[in-house]
Amino acid sequence: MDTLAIIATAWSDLLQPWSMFYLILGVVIGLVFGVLPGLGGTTALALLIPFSIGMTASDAIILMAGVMASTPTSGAVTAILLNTPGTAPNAATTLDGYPLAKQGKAGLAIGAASMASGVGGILGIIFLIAMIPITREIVLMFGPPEFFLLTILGLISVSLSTGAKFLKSLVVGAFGVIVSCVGYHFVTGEIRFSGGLDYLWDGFKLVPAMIGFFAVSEMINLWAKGGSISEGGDMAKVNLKQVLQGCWLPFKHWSVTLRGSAIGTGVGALPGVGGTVAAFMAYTLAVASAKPADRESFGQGNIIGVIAPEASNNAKEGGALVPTLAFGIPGSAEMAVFLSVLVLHGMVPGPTIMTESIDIIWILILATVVSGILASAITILTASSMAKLTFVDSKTLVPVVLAFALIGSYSLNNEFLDVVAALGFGVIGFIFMRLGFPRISFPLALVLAPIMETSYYQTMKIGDGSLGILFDRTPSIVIFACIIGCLLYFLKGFVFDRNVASSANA
Amino acid sequence: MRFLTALLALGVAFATPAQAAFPEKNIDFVIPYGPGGGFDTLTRKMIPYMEEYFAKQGSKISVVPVNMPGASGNKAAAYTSRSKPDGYTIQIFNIPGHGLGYITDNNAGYDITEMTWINQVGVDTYVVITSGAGELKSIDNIMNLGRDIKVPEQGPGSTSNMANKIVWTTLGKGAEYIFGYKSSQEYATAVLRGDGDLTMVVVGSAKRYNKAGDYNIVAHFDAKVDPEFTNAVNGAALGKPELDEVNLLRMVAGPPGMSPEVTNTLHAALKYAVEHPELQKWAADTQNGVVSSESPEAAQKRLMRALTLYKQFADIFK
Repeated sequence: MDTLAIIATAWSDLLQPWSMFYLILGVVIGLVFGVLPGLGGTTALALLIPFSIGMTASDAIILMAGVMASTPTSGAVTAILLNTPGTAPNAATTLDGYPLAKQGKAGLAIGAASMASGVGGILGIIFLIAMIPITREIVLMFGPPEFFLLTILGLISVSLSTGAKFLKSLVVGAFGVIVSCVGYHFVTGEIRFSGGLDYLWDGFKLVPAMIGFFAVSEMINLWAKGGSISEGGDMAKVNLKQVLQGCWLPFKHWSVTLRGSAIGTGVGALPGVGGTVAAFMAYTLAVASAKPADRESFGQGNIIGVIAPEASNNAKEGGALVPTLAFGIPGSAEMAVFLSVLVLHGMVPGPTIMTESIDIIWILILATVVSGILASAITILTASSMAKLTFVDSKTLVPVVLAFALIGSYSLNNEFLDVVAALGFGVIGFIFMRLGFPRISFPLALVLAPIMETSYYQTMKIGDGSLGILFDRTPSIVIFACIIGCLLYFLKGFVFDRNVASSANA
Repeated sequence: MRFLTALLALGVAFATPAQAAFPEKNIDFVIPYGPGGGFDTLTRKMIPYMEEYFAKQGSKISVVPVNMPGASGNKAAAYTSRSKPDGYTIQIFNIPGHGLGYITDNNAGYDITEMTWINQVGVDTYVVITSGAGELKSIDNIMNLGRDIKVPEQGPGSTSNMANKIVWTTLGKGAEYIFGYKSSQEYATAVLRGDGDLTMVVVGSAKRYNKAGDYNIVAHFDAKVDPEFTNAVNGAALGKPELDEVNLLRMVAGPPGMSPEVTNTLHAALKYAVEHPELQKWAADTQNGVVSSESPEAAQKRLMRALTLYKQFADIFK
């Protein structure tokens, strides 16, 4: 059967009533799990596994595709409204999304984020299809030396994205690195810095730490400040019209959307590093390529700062499928669960899946595209109602959000100490906020530091104790050049700004 | 006399509290790792057939998968060992991984030999893989390499690392381990990429990964080498037949002190699941080594045989 006939069959399978039911169900579940702090795609997929066993392989995959394609879309909603990224890849969206919410433009931001997500998701899948023939080469090109350099690039990208607070951002990143060192050490097998607590055997968990550092600290701050999140703007203006205005913006700034999607797919294909680094790289590149006069508006509520990371973190779904399908190497925890669904239904991820199960792969691709569009549409239609949350008084909002956040922390593992950890990180996050330290580098450091440590150790082993191997391989040389480029960009801005300031003072 | 006997029997029948049928409520099936992965997938695959078995016996209960990752699976094992021995908490174990504490005389928070063993549900033998594009095409090539071999691996204490250590120590070849790869697929890909020289994976994985013919399979440690591996040798051919006993067992147990009745009921349910034609077909399609033991006693014997073998190598795991 030729490719067009396979696509036509897959499309017809997708349009069957039960298939569409599972697709819509997956999208709704994904949106709900994405919008609730702490819950995400991984939890949703894990809970759905038992129900998927009785389904046909294509229905199970359609259901899962619905969930996977929609969680990043709604994850942006809390990032914009509550300064709390629904998932780590949504963290970059808080940088400009939340300032827009404070200006009473939450509807605009959600509209732009949803449309950018939808477009990014589609572009990601198109990139995936284009990459299928060279999947193997891509995966084999990136080994420990490349991962080590990518983690450095990621941490520098996030710090650069905070502009003048570069050094303070590095301090928060260093705190994240220290937190990530707690627990089982994969080389020695020792438990580090656990203080004898069984709870810390595997270190601090990402979700309670994220909930605490963002949601809890934001709520403490809002409670202390009083009033509502929106400090300006008129609630009457937060309507569908504002949301639709936002929807147009990813097309107006099409080069930002396209570039974000390309970065998302390319970097998203790298296991572990993927989505979060891609979102920050897309953001940093958006800042770097903006007109000098516009650069200062980033971090203050520039809509491009929402479009770039959102296009990127949805496009990464297409990229993350590359190593998952072609090698059986999951790019994320979510993909690991998806992988087990494939195996449960008798499919064997690996180099031959593209030939042996190509019909199912096309159903997955089409379901992901349709789910992404559907998720964006639902989010756009409900955005104006959700955006009104930013006008709710803190006395009402704080208890409700805190309750959801802490229940979210507890429900992941039914572990009370996760709630304690979330509260502890909430207090630390609040202190950082009050001292003017950008908290944004914390989640990235928490995600990347273990990968950095592992890949450094592996690089040294592969290179017989020398880092010279970093300069023996083309991909690592390219990434190293990007790091140097980022640092030069920072130094140029630093020197230029000082000169401008000196001239102004003179 | 006959009347008296009947009366006595009736009296005993009323005096003895009625034995509650097991199971009366849902059973927690603990998985010592997160969702995804071999142990999780196999457990979730068995569960519907276990429920089908119980339903046929008149018990419409659910078997609930409980993922409890942490501390290389020891957190779950410690939890299961402390649970009430009523049959409502059982766990899938990784042998030898969960036996490392016993093998090295370290306290892992539970005693693996004291658990109530219910069934063996899977067994996987190991193969040595090298990159098809490389020069190491046989065990002789490996042994004659003028340096220590580099072996990408998951981490110290992982089952494949234990297998690697036993094999290369027994064969007298120095090995340097590169830890930190998250799954067998990752370290197999690392071999393909050239991060290391070779690694060991279970036979089913090797067949899955090698569909594109990317690897050389140079050894298969089993009494009988799989005919698909035309260039592979086994431990016996290398003059080390003990290596053919090195494998990965997937076993199910409950807390210490479970009653024989409950153990036998659970054994029957697991046996029904493992031997179900649909599960066997799935196992064949996905290259999973799924097999049931004849009885709980046979499972216990299988465990002790494996632990005794690994204990001989305790020094290299410390």
